[in-house]
Amino acid sequence: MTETDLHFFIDSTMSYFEETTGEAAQPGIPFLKGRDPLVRDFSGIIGISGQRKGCIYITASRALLNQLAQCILNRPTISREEMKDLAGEIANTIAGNVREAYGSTFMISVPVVVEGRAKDIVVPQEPPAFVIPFTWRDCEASLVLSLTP
Amino acid sequence: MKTLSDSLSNDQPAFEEPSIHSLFLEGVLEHAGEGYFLLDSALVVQNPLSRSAMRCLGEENPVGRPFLKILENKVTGEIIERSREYLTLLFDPDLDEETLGEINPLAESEFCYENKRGLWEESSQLRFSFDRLFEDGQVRGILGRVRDVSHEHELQKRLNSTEHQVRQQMEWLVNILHVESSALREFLAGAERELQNIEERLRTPGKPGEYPQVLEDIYRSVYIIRGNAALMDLSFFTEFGHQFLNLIADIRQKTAPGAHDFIPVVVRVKELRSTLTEVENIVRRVSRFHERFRAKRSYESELLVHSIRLLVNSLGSELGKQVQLVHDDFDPMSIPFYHRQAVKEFLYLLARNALYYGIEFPEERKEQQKPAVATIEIASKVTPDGLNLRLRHDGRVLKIERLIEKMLVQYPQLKEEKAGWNDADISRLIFTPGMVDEEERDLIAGYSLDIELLRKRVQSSGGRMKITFTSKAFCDVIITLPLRK
Amino acid sequence: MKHLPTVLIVDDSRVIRHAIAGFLADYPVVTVEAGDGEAALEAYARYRPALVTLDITMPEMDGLAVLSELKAVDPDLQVMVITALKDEQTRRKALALGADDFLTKPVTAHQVRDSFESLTGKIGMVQG
Repeated sequence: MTETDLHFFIDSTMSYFEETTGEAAQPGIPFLKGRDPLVRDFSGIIGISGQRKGCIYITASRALLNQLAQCILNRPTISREEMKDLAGEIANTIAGNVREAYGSTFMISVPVVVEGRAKDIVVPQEPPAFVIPFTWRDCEASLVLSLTP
Repeated sequence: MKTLSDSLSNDQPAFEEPSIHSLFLEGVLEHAGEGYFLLDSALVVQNPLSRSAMRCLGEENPVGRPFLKILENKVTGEIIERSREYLTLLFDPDLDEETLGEINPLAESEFCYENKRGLWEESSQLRFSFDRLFEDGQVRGILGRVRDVSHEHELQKRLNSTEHQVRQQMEWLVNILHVESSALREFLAGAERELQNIEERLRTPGKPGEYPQVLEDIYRSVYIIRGNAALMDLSFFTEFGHQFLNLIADIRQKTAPGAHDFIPVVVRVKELRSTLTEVENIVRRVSRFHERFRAKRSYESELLVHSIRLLVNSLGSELGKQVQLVHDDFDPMSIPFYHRQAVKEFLYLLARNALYYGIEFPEERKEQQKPAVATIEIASKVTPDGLNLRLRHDGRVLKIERLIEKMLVQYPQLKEEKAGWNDADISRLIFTPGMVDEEERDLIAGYSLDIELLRKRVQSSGGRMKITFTSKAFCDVIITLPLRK
Repeated sequence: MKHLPTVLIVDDSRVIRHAIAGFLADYPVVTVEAGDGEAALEAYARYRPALVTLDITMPEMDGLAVLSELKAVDPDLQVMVITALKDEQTRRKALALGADDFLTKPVTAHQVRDSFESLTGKIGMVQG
C-alpha cells in the first residue's frame, strides 16, 4: 500500500463520521499491525477482490457504536444487534466509498461482523497490515487495512 | 488484400464440397482458441463469430449489438471513447496499417465481467487486433480478433515481480557478503530493535502535542540504523536511512505536525520492515551452506573489540583524523551475555561521538600541543556496584563556552553562579532541553543526539552514566550497569 | 378511508433501514422494509409500493438485479438507489437500468427527503 492508498481510506473514514453526524473524527498516527490482537467490541470485516486483494476491517467500542447509532436513528436506546449491524455498515460504506478512487474493479464483499474481544482478526503478516486509529467523541476505533499492492 | 466478400465467400478453393467447407468453418469458429468476430461500418457485431469471441466478450449472443455497447461496464469509459475513435479511423482507407496498429486502445486491456447479479466479479486480460476488410478500395468491415491472455499476463507479472525480487536479493547479497557474519547478525538484531522501538512509538504516540517528540524518537532510531549501516558499508540501508532522515527532518520543520504527517513515515517503516525480513531470510538461507555465516559464540567476545577498532579506523580515516584505540583494560569476557548488545551499542555511540565531535584534526591538535594521534581508551571492570564501562578520549568537548553563553542569555539569574560551576554543572548543561537549535544542529546536533540517546539507553538498562571532562583536554565517560546476582 | 402510499426500504443494514424510515416519518406514507434482494421482490409483490429505496451490495441477490427485475415489471416505479459504491460505473449502470435517483452513503436526512420529494413530485404522490 502506498501513501495515496492510506489517504483514500483515511479520507473515506473521516468523511463517514463528518457526513453522518456533523462531528468530525480525529485520525491518529497510523502504524503497522504486529502480532498483538487488535479487536474491540464489534468488528465489521469486508473482503476485497479484483485488482486488489485482502480485507479491511473496522473495530470499534460499544460506546462509539452506541453513540453513533443514536445520532443516526435519533433515539436514545440502541440494541446490541443494531450496534453489531452498524459495525458492518461503517466498514461497507468506507470500502464502497473508496471505489470513487479505485473504480469498480475494487470489489467488495458484504460485511461480516465479529462480536467480542476474545480473538484477534487474523490478517497476513506479509505485506504488513496498516492500522489507522481514530477517535470520535473520545471513543476509540481503528481501521485495519490488509491489501495486496 | 482481404475483402469482406473474400472472408465470407464460400467460393474457396481448398474444399470442393460446400458442406465440408461449412463444416470446416463451423469447426474453426467453435474450437479456435482465438476469437473472431465481424464488425460492419456501424460497428455492429455481425455473423459469423466464434465461440471464443463470445466468451471473451462476455456475451451469449452479441450478434446485432453495437460493439461499443458490449464494452460498456467492462472497460473504462476512456477506453471506450478511444475505441470509438480508433474503430472509426479504421474505415479510412488512406490510413496505413502500421499507424493504426500502434494506436489500438484495446491492444491489451483488462475486461471486467459482471456476475448474474450485476456485480463485477471476474476479470480477464484480453488482446484485441483488428484487420480491415476491403472491397473496391473501400473498407467494408473489420475482422476483429481477440485472445484471452490472462494466463500469460499473470505469468509475466509474476516473472517481473520475481525478477525484481531476485535482482534486489542479489544486490543485498553482494552488499552483505563483505560483512563479518556476526557483525551482520548484530546489525540486523540492532536494526530490528530500533524498528520495534519505532513501531512501538507509532503505536503509542500520546496526544498531538507529543507528536514532535515521537518524531524525535523515530529520528534517533533511524539515525542509529543509518549510522550502523554506514559503518558496515551496507549501502542500501545507509541510503534508505539517509532518505528516511531527510523525510523526518522535513516534517520536523512544521510547528505542529499532525497525524497525517506520519503517513509517509509509516509507509517507510513498512518498507524497512519488509527489507529487514528479506535480508534476514537471505542470511538464514546463506547460513545453511556457508560456514562463514554461522555464529561462533567463542568468537563473539573478540569481535566486540574488533568491531570497535574497525569503527575507529574506518571513521577516523574517513574524517581525516588519526586515532588509536587502547583496550588493554577492556575484558570482553567480563561482560555478561545479557549486556553484550547494550555494551556494544554504548561503546559504538561513544566512540563515534568522540570521533565526530571530540577529537580534533591533527593540525589542530599540534597547535594545542597535543600528539597528532589521538587516543580513545576503553576499559571494563566488575565492581560491587555493577559493571563499569569507561571510554576516555583526549579530544575536546564541543562548544562548551558557547553553550554556557547561551545558557546565561536564557537564564540570566545564573550569572552569579557561573564562577562556581564545575564540570558536572557543565555536563548537565549539555543535556538541558532547548540548548540546541536548528542553526547549531550541523555542529552539535549529532553530539547532543548521541549523548541524550545514550543517557536514555543507559537508564533503560537500569544503569547510570557519569561524564567528566575539561573542555579542551579530555572527556571521560563512565557507565555503570547493574549485574544480575 | 384513503390508503397511504407505500415506500419499500431495501437494505441489508437494519440501522440504515430504520434511519431511512425515520427520515420519511413526517410524510404521509407507510414504510415497509426488506433486508435482501429476494425479500425485496416478495415485498414488492405484496405491497405494490410507489417508491423503493434500494441498496446495491446485499447478500443473495444484489440491488442491481432487483432493480432490473422491478423495472421490467413496473417501469413507472420510482427507485432511489442508496449505495456505498461511489464509483462512476456503478452510478451509470444503475441509471441505465432505470434508477430514478442515485445517492451514495452515508446519506443525510436532507438528501433523502430532497430526493423523495423530487421523485414523488414527479408522480403526483401525496406530499407531507
